Amino acid sequence: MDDELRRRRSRFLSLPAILVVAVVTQAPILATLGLSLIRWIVIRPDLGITFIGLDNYAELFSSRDFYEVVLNTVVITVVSLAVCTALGILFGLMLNHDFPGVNIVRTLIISPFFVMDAVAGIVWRTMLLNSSFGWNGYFASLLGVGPFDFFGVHSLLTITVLIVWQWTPFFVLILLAGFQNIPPEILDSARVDGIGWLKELVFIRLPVIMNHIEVAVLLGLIFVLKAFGLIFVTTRGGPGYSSANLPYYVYKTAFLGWDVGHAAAVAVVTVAITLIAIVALFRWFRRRIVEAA
Amino acid sequence: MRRHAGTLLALSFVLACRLAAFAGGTREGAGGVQLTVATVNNPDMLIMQQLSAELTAATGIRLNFVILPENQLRQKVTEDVGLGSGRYDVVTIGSYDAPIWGKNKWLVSLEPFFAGMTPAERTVYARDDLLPTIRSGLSYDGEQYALAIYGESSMMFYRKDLFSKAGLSMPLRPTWQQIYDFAVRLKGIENGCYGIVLRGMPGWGEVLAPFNTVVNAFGGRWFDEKWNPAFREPAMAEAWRFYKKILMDAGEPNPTTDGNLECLAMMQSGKAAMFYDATVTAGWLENPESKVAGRIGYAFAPSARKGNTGWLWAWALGIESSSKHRAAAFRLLTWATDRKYITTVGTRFGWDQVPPGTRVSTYNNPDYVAAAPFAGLALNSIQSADYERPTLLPVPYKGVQYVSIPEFQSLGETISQQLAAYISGQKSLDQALDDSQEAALKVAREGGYLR
Repeated sequence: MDDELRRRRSRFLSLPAILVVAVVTQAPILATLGLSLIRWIVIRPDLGITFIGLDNYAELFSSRDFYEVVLNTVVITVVSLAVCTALGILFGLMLNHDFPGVNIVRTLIISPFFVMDAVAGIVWRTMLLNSSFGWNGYFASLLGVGPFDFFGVHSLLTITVLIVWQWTPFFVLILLAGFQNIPPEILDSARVDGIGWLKELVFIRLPVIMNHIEVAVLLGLIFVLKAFGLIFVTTRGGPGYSSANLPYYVYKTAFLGWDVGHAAAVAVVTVAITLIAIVALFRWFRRRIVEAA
Repeated sequence: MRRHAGTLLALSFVLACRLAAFAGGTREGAGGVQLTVATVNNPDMLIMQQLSAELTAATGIRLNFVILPENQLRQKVTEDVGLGSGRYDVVTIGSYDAPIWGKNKWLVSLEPFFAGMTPAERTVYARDDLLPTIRSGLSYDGEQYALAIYGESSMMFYRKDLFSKAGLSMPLRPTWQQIYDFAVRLKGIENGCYGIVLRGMPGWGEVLAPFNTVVNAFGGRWFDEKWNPAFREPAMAEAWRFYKKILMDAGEPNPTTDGNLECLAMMQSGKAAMFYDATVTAGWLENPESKVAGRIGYAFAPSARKGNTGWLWAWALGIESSSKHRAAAFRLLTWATDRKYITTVGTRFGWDQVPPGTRVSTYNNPDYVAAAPFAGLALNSIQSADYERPTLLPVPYKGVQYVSIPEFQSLGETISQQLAAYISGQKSLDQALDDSQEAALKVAREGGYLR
């Protein structure tokens, strides 16, 4: 009885910690949910602040721009994750060998990961891809052709490529760790059985590092879905909405339109989409891992 | 009830903002009042920061400058005034913001302070010397809410040497058709030289600044008298078509990445024969570091159906309503905008560094006129800018290169993106104009403007 009482009392001791965690992690989400139910345009104080229920969501789901932005977000995320995973596997395999200068090559490959979004964006936009001052214009003039319109017609492609450039090192780091942890005996046995390089990769190496791939893709999904800095400094989501993703759309609504309620509604939908994508991907990976086992 | 529920939610948000701002704001120091000044990182404001020690020595007012890039400044200051967190006493705002913020009562009217001046102070400050168009742009309902520290219009810059080489001559008041013809003739006159450089980067402070003057010149407008969007009027389509045509036929390649700074760099480095932009640009083109210094000619903003199309802009200082030290803040405003300050900058930093576009007396100063050969044309452009009636057909708004409504920040961004989509070939003209019309209609309806 004393033990039971002590156990009950001890539960109260953890209450402050639970409260702190709840406030720190859930309060912003609850506040955003609350704000998404009001009409509040900061720059129009004369219109007042009114509770409008789900009107912000209704307006959002009837907007063509929103669907274009969602589609862009899906394209950027899916293509980036697929290419990052493929490149991560490729570079991981390459760097899993000892060759002269391997440490230098590893450092060079992971260096884009340590450059800040905004800095990387400015360097790419002004120094490399600019049609008049960048390498783009220089090489185009050498070849006698017009410079490639990276941030105009091909803005979505350019943003996706820049995200791949920035996040591939993250995939390489995780997948390289996976390749390095494969017990050599397994590979030796397979080779004794005469397995080819491709079969070894598909049937041994990749299934063994499936947990690493899962971690890389799930974390990559969260990071790529949140991409903002690169878009903000290179294309500002344009031309039109052609390279805008959900975080940039939230920014535009909140800090150019000053429409707090609408921006909060977009933010809530973004969180919902992110959670659904993560859960779906997580389940898919679990199923694959169970099947592989 | 619905209103109360919304207000409650918003209040909790505002409370958080105010708590966050509690550590900042105005402080009483041992040496007197300390004012927090939010300002843009342009050369004029940096000079003011350097000279602020003189104000402190004379009055005991100490200044804490918070310096931010232009887009961040507007965002931070709007947060500050809109959410009432009261972080800043004095804020640097544009002529677009001042009347709107005055209407919202986010800024303090300066009229009571001017009325309270002694005759001697009035004589020293000489309010009548302030340029009337700039003063009008910083006023709402007849009351002035900010004092300009710098003002500008727009004009055409051209390379006199290239014009001479091609046997062309630029009229003082060119038309856009003449500019197009010149640009096509001058394209490639030197290796890799563009006929003209124009802003194409999306943003209401970027491409829309020159582009809206083209719209006005062609007889276009954003809204009719009843706030019906006018993007489907033929003149608007003509302006869009022309802007793309001149860029495609004679402008810089892929212009949607080029804003004011990029275009200026191209002109300064000799890559362009013409450049249409702010009058203040003249000083940078004549700077010794510019490769084209001494070879630049000037002309008024080009016209089409409408003449006198130059834009009007000013950076100005205003006092936030939440400031507890309004008198000290007004003292700062008058110190930074009086004639003595301009003379101090001229003698200490050079007459080409003097903040232009604020006072008539600046343009009567022989030292300034000698340092700025473009001064007369710039003054004429600023003084004659059609701020009150910017378009050929009647409109319910003011502002040359912007529409003076709070929603323009967002609407302008959207329209500029539509323009960029059209210029880059991502959208047809009809599609871009339809989408623009739809966006403008939404603003007119939701903002309660549509009659």
